[in-house]
This record gives sequence, C-alpha cells and structure tokens, in this order.
Amino acid sequence: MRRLKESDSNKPADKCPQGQVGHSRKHESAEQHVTGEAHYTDDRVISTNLLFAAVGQSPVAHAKIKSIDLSAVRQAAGVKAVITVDDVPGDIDIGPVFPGDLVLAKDNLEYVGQPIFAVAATSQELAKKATRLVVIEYQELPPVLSITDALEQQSFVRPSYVMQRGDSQQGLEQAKNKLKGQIKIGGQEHFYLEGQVAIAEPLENDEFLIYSSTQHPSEVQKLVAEVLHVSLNKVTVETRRMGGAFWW
Amino acid sequence: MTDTIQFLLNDQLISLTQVNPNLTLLKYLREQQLKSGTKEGCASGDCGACTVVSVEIDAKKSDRLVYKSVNACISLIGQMHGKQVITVEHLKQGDRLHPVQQQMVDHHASQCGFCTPGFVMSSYALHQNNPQPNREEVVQALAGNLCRCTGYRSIIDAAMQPCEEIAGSSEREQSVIQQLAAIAQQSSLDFQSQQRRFFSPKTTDELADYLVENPQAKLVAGGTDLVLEVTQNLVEFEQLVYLGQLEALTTIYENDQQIVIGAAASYCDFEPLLKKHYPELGAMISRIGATQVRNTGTLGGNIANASPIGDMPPALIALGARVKLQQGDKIREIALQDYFIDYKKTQLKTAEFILSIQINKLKSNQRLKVYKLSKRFDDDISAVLAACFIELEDQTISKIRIAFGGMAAIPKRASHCEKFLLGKSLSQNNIDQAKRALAKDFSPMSDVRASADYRMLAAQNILQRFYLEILSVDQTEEDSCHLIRVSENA
Ligand SMILES: Cc1cc2nc3c(=O)[nH]c(=O)nc-3n(C[C@H](O)[C@H](O)[C@H](O)COP(=O)(O)OP(=O)(O)OC[C@H]3O[C@@H](n4cnc5c(N)ncnc54)[C@H](O)[C@@H]3O)c2cc1C
Ligand code: FES
Ligand code: FES
Repeated sequence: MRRLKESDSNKPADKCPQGQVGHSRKHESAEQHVTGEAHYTDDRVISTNLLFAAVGQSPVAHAKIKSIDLSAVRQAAGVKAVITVDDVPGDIDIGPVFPGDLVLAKDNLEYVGQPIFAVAATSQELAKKATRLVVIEYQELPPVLSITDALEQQSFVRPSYVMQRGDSQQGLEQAKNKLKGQIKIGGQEHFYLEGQVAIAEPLENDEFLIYSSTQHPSEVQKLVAEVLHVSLNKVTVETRRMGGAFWW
Repeated sequence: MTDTIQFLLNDQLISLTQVNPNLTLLKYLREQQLKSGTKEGCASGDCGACTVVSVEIDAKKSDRLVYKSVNACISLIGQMHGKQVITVEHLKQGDRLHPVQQQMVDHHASQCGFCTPGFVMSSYALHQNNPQPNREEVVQALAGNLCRCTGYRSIIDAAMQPCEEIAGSSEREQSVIQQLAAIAQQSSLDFQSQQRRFFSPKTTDELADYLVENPQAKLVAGGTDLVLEVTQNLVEFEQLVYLGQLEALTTIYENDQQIVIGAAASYCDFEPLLKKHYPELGAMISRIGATQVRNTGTLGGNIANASPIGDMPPALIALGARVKLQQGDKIREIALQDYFIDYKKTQLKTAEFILSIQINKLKSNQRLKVYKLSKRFDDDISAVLAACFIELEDQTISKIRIAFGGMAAIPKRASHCEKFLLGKSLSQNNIDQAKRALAKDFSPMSDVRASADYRMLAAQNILQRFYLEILSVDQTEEDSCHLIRVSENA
C-alpha cells in the first residue's frame, strides 16, 4: 500500500561521445515501441481462412477423469475441429527439460487450468464459447497444496537434492545465540504483459510455419515436431519479439 | 433518431451502422481498422495496455477539448459516438515523434515494449490537459498502466518532462470541436445488428419509456463492470441502453445543504467537488480503479452493480446519502442504505433506473473518515472499506454512522457498534467495547483478498485508528468544531 516515492533522478547519461563506454544508446526497437509500430505475434495480419484455437481447461486441482462428452462442443457454432490427447500422432509429453508435462490431459487432472481438449473455430469467441459446453465426469482427489502436505505424503515433483556448504549442524550446535522460526516465501510466476499466443500455418509437404511469442524457438520447434511426429526440418519457428519474458 | 454511430478515429470521421453492440473498441481498432498499436494485455481493464484517448468537448467550456485516457478493452463501440478516439498511431507527425514518445525513447522507458503504447497514451492525455505535470499528477495518470519489465522510474521520469506546444495543434483542435459539435446536434442513437440493439437516449423520458417497453434491456454507463461480462464471461447482451448521452444523468450540482450527483456522472467529473467537501473521501476516490477506470466509471454504476466490495456505497451510506429512482413517470427517493437487500439483490424494480444521488454536506461538528485496505495502493479492489461519520455535541457522540464494505454480502452499517457508541463520549474504553460489538455486526468471509479473521481484526483496528485520528484532529486544529476533549476513563 505504499506509493512510489521520488528517487534520485535518473536523467539519460548522454555525456560520453558515441561509441565510448557509458554512451547512452537507445533500445533498438524504442521508436517502434512508442509508436505502436512494433509487431507482436497477435498483431500479424492473418489470412481469412485462419481458425482460432481455444483449450478446454480443468476446473479442479486434482481428479481422475471418468468420461469426457464433447458432442455439444463439436456441434457448437463455428467449430471446425475438436481434439483430445488421443488425436495426438506423436509424443504427448511436452516437458521441455524433464518429462511430465502433457500436451493435453490423459486420465488424470493435475492442476486447475490444465488443458484437456482443444477446439478450432472460425473466431476466437466461438472457440472459447464452445469449450464451455463440455461435460466432464471426474472423481475428485485431494490436492496437495502445501509443502508440509507434500513432505508428509512424500509427493515430489522432482527427485530431492540437497544444497549445502560447510557443516551447518555443527555450526548451529556451537552458536552462542540461536533463533528458531519459519519463513514462507510467496513465490509467484512472473506475469508478462503479452498474452500467450502462437499462429501455426500449415505449408506444403506437411511442413509448418509457426509464429510464436516464445523465448525458445528451437524448443518449440522440437516439441511441435515430436508431438506431430514429423522430423524437425518440417517445422520452422519465427519469433519477432516478445511482450515480456522472465525466465533464464 | 440516428442509426449511425459517428466518431472521429484520429482525424478520420467514421460512420458505422450494422455493428454488434457488444463489439469492444479494442476489437474494432485491432481487427477492423488493423490498428494494432493498441494492445490487449488483460481484457479486463487492469493493465492499461489498451489505453487510447477519448476526446470530448468540455461541458463547461465549449471551445475546449477534454482528453481522457480510457481502456479500449472494456469500452463498447457505441459509447464512442460523438467522441474523438486517438490511438498511438496518431501521435507521430511525419518522421517526428511526439514529445511524450521522444521522452520515452530518451529515458529508456521501454524494454519488451508491450505496455509502451498504453503508457504513451496515458502520458499524452495527461500532457494535453496539463502540459507541466508534477510527479504526483504523473503517478496518478500512469497508475492504471502496468509494466512488467522496465521499472516505473524511467517511465515516470519520461512523463514528467514538459511538452512543448506542437505547431498547428490549436487549429486541429478547432476542427475537431466543429466536427464533434455537429454529431452532438443529432438526436438519440439507436442501432442494431444480428438482433442485438443499442440505444443511447438523450432525455430521461425517452429512457424511461424505452425501459418500460423493453424491461429486459441492460443499462450501461461507464461499462467498467458490465463489459467485463462480455470480455471475461463471453456474454452477448441483446439490448443495451447507454446512459452517457443523458444530460440529466450526468449533471452535478450543489446547494447549501447538499451535493447532487447524476447517476451517470463519472468519477473524474465528481471527484473534485467531493474532495472539496470530504477530503478523506476524495483521497479514497483517487484509489478507485485508476485514471482510465475513473474517466469512464460512474457513481450510478458503482451503486447499481451492488458489489459487496464497491467502494462508494459504504462512504455514501455513512454520509446518509439518498438515491432518486425513476420507473416510467414515477420517481421515488430512498436512503442508499435501504437500496441493498442481499448479495446483488437491490430495491431496483424492473425498468427502473437510478437518476441521481444526494449527499448532505458536513456541519462543523461532523466528520467523515474513509479507510480503504487493499494489497496495492492503486487499481485494486478493497479487502475492507470502512467509512465512519461522526457528530459530536458537548463531547458526546450525537450521531454516528459506520459502514463497511467487504464485511458482508452487501455494504452495511455496523448497527451494534453504532448503538453502543451513540450518546457516549469518545474514549479508549468505549472504543474497545465498540470494537467488540463489531463482532456481533459482521461475520465476514475468507476469499483471495483476505481471510475472515483478517477482515474482522482490520475492521476493529480501523475503529481504533478512527478514534486516534479524530482525537489528533481535535488537538491540532484550533478551529475544530468543538469536538471532543477525551478523558481516558470516560
Ligand atoms: C480495473 C478496474 C478496477 C476497478 N476498481 C474499483 C475500485 O477500486 N472500487 C470500486 O468500487 N470499483 C472498482 N471497479 C468497478 C467499477 O469500475 C465501478 O463499480 C464503477 O463505478 C462502475 O460504473 P460503470 O458506470 O462503469 O458501470 P457499468 O459497468 O456501466 O454498470 C454496472 C451495473 O450497473 C447498472 N447501471 C449502471 N448505471 C445505472 C443506473 N443509472 N441505474 C440503474 N442501473 C445502472 C448496469 O446495468 C450494470 O449492471 C473497478 C473496475 C475495473 C475494471
Ligand atoms: S487490455 Fe488490460 S486494460 Fe485493457
Ligand atoms: S516494457 Fe515489457 S511490460 Fe513494459
């Protein structure tokens, strides 16, 4: 609830001659940014036959899927195609570094918002509206939402490892003063401003051209090729720029 | 009656018929005009990436234009009738960047650049109205724009640089005034497409008659609550009635005892007057949404939306405000506190609408204090909002109204607490008991904003703060209203 306070002024340091260390250079896209001329993925002029995709998402944190009825979704206005994990020709696991991240849910739901099926329709609204017509029967399971619960149930995302320097045990035993307590860190996913967006254009000879707002075009290329079960050279990924990214 | 929406898009006159009234300005700009400089970040009014500038003739001075930053994502196309919409593409003249753009470049105020057009437009609106803003004004103007990369300091520094007058701008403004005045001559706007209809009446008679004939029609004023139904819940309204062109609903006036605010007057229009009479309420209003939301959002919308966390109702209930309602040719007046029945259930009858809100001015022995608790300072919904109105006579509380938002399903008075305090002196002992009485008044709920326990504790602590503040006012202000001399053991 604090306001931003005046800080030392940060005037552009433009005192050094061009080319020297300390010379202030403007961002290479600055003029495009301030005029709105900078193009992001969603700004591309699209072809008239482009379809819009939307995913149907899990409403619960943990459940076992009993059945999915997509008939109303398929019949909804504007819908051209509906797919589930069973329609994926290649790999269904798109975990980029470690396995365990499914492109569309299979059997179980593991977090709120998990993609379960995908719809392609003639407009973004129609695609989104259609996803809401699904009837899913599932058996809810207790979710593990805290570190304490996870430790108790020995439920781990990745194998455990220890980061350690020196002998803390001994250090603590010998310490003159001891403090005991707990700290919880409210870790958050960074929130970049541009929405998650990609455009896929099927080309001749089973090739795909993908415009994606990604920090990692070659990873997208690899994962898409694996999911589609085609060789990597069939997939080209182009990233002009991103509306924010806070990973590596 | 005209069936053509007319507005200026930059300097081009646009005439539209046959558009779906649920079309947002952002979609229109990006998809039909291919003006993709205006971005979509959240589609819910929170991030400011879609900020454009809406220009109107100044109601008080017809040879002047007023520039308002607005969120295009939650503005409907029909709301733009008779206005000029300026987008980021319009600022650069030939090869020359507009000064607000050049300053952003020079101050390294963009990184990924996705938020940048929105910041540029907020800054542009500010500078058009106020060429040499101070830091506080800049921070206010930019509070509705989020940047996740750059850090705000460079953006604020850029926006603080004064703008020199751009050659030819006053001639261009005169031409805009002429064109907007010509559209304003026209009668009400009524257009439809695909069995969806948009009506924008000019008189309350037209409005009242239309609602009697079409009771299912949905009213839209600023749209800052309603249009989220369209963008977030994919609702398509069949009939929308826009209140922004009704002079009777947008008028604000005062007499010796009262201030009367038209239901469709927006925050930016009534904030100065309320600030003058109730400084603490004014300070709270400057934390409702952010500039873009306050430029369009209205008092009637805030009340009619009947959210338990709407900020104005508790403050106005504490002031004993009354609302005037009209249905057909019947006009009635009720106390605002009686307007709310249960969660989202109000006294408003079918085909009825809020005309205006009347608020009593404070007497010299009366005080109002308002407290908004939210996680962010700007642009955030309250966890708890408290408004305390007190009148003291000879050190005794002769009137008290304490109303809370976020503590129940409706904005509600703390009746046990008030009852306890009435007729007593203001002392720590009495406040302690009043705090306990609050637990009888409310059993708040836990949600993403706060837990039930937090809400209760915060509400009690606010009472404590209220007590201390009233006390300190009395001790520091000589003039003050023969307020309290407090004895700790009273
Ligand atoms: C980003 C953001 C931040 C916000 N922050 C806050 C905040 O801090 N505090 C807060 O209280 N609110 C906040 N809001 C909510 C909203 O801005 C306010 O409630 C605003 O006052 C609504 O007014 P409006 O004119 O936009 O209403 P609209 O959306 O036009 O209408 C809201 C409802 O009221 C009805 N209505 C409107 N006018 C009348 C009338 N005259 N008679 C009868 N019915 C009517 C409409 O039919 C609709 O159901 C925020 C909204 C956004 C998008
Ligand atoms: S897109 Fe975020 S405020 Fe409009
Ligand atoms: S520069 Fe990336 S969000 Fe502001």
